[in-house]
Amino acid sequence: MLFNSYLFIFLFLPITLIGYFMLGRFNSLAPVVWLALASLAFYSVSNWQFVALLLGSVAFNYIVGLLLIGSRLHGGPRFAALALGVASDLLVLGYFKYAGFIAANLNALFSTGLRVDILLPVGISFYTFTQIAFLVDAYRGKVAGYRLPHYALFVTYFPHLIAGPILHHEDMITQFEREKTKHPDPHLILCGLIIFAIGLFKKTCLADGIQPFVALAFGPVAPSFAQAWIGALAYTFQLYFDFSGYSDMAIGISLMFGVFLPLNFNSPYKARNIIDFWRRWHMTLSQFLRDYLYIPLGGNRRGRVMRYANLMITMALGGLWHGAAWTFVIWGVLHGLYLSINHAWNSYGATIKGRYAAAANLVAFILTFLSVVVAWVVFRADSVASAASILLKMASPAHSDLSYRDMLAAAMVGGYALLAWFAPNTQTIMDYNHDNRTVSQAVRAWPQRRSFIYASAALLAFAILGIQQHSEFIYFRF
Amino acid sequence: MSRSAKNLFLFISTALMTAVLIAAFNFVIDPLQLFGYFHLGRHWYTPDSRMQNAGLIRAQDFDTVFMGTSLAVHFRQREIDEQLGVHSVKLAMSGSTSVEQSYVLAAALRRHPKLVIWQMDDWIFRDAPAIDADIYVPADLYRMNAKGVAGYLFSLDTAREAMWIALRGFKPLEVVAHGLSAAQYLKFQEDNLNELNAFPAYIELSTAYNSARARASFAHFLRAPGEIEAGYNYAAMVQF
Repeated sequence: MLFNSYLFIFLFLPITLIGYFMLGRFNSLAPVVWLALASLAFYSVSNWQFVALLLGSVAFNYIVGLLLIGSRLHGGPRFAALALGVASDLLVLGYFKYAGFIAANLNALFSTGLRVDILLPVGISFYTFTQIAFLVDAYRGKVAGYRLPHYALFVTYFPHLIAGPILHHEDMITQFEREKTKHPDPHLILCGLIIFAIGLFKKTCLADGIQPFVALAFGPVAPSFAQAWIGALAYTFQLYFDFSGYSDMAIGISLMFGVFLPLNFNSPYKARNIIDFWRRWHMTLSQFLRDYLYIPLGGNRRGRVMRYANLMITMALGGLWHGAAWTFVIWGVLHGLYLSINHAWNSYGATIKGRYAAAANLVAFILTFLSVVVAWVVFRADSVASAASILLKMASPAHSDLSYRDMLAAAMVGGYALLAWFAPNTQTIMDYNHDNRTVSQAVRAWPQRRSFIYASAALLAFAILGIQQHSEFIYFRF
Repeated sequence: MSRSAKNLFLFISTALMTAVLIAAFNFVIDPLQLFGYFHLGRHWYTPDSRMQNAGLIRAQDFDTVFMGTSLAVHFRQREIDEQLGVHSVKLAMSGSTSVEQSYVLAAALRRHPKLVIWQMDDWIFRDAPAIDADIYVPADLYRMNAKGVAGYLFSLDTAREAMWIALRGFKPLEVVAHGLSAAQYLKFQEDNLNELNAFPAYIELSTAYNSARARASFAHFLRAPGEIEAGYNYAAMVQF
């Protein structure tokens, strides 16, 4: 089921909310069970054939987690249980996501004639990662023990199930266990609705609005120099508004249930360097890769060379996580390279202060943004050859007449850039604080003003009326 | 009632009111002329025949229906009328299948025309989705059921077209609207129904279509087969 569908907005969400709060009058466990069942219903509407896989994954990881949490296993057997759990998760993910990719590469190398047609279960990358984190933390002794309904809800919780944010068990399950979240809070419901409205508007009016112009660069007809840039920039903004819109919607929906989700975006295109960019873009994935891959690899503890090697490995695997294609691997390696250069500059480069600092910051901002755009071209392209062709066009200035459509696309890209660079982001507007579990607490905060309520309500109406059929979120395929 | 509860009520009622106002605006301007209660200035038409036909069937007076694919869509209604002495409506749709054509024709037959001129080519009988699964045909709009009418009125796409139809009434904005139409941002861009999807008068057909150009075009697509597949599901198109 899609957040941007009438079925979800007018039927599923109200029924789930009403059921959740009605059951909350009786006891604290029933709403949790209700929400887990509702989440399964949400998933099964368009992915019914993979519900058993999801349930099997939840049961398996819960049992392995119990083994690790209890004091029965020590030393080697304890590590073996962790290895079994993580390896099984990765094997399942590998089978569904990478078997076709491996077969295609074997065919290319050895003409093996292998043919693999496997449907990718939606959300498998996300729920696999959240559960690997749970197992690793259980092994590290950081998990006290959870009841099955709470654990099942943590994995299947519908606001995040399909495309994140990637949640941390401790953060979520403690909220599911709280009695207070089971009772309706009009303030949280209102703030949740406003955040949902902003997210839906980003998706239906902004991301879907610029989507047709992406084809200028990535369509079947070879682009001109200007079209390649316009199309690449259109995709840069489409992806941002699509995914950050989805994340806003997830946060807003969850807030209506009294549960605070972590932030996933913090105006990433305002970043002045790549390190900063990765602290602002898909933040929960960055944190996961840092805590469960980069640091276990050794992080920056084994000298500079190993640090750069670890960065490259982490980002290449992060790229591969997005999809089984060489374009994603190259995208990850590119960002690994960017990060290594950034760290090397921090260690060896000059520090510019005083009267030139502002100019240096501007240059850094532009360089960062252009580096990100170049990497998005590889990320979006159908093949490495296609990406190379588009990048070559972007690097070959040549005059060509712009059609009316090109000019409109350029104007729209300019408008989107202004929004991404200068507009306040959702959490700033809403004064959303995940760590403190507060939203719009100040009396002067915007949601306390009547004019803001009118404007955001109109935004919700526009966003709902802007819903187009057959418009999935880009990150559903990862 | 707490202040937060009041704000929540205000928020939901404002959102509902905004949606109703947009729908009312769409109803008054009515780009497809489905309802015909208001006549404000010029009518505008979209070359998207699958959508436009729903309005033409309801708004036009006709005794003859002209159906077909892109081979028929470029004809002018007036020329058909002059040649045959009829009062026709052109419902041809580029790249249409027999499923689409028969569905639209069935809707037109409810107006009891005397004559149907049906241009056919073998491609129309290719594999095609059922009409309700066809994402290009607003099937419920032809049925004029609640879902179809609500989808038309409670739509930002309709509102955008309706707003520009209204704004075109102001001369300085006509130029802007023309540019937006040329950029394919606005769908409703033709105010002369007779010229809808017809070749512009300045095109000399014998120059535009001749054997030399056809051979050159064929040779070009042999060199770049990707271009001819653009926008089409080729596997579906060759499946009979």
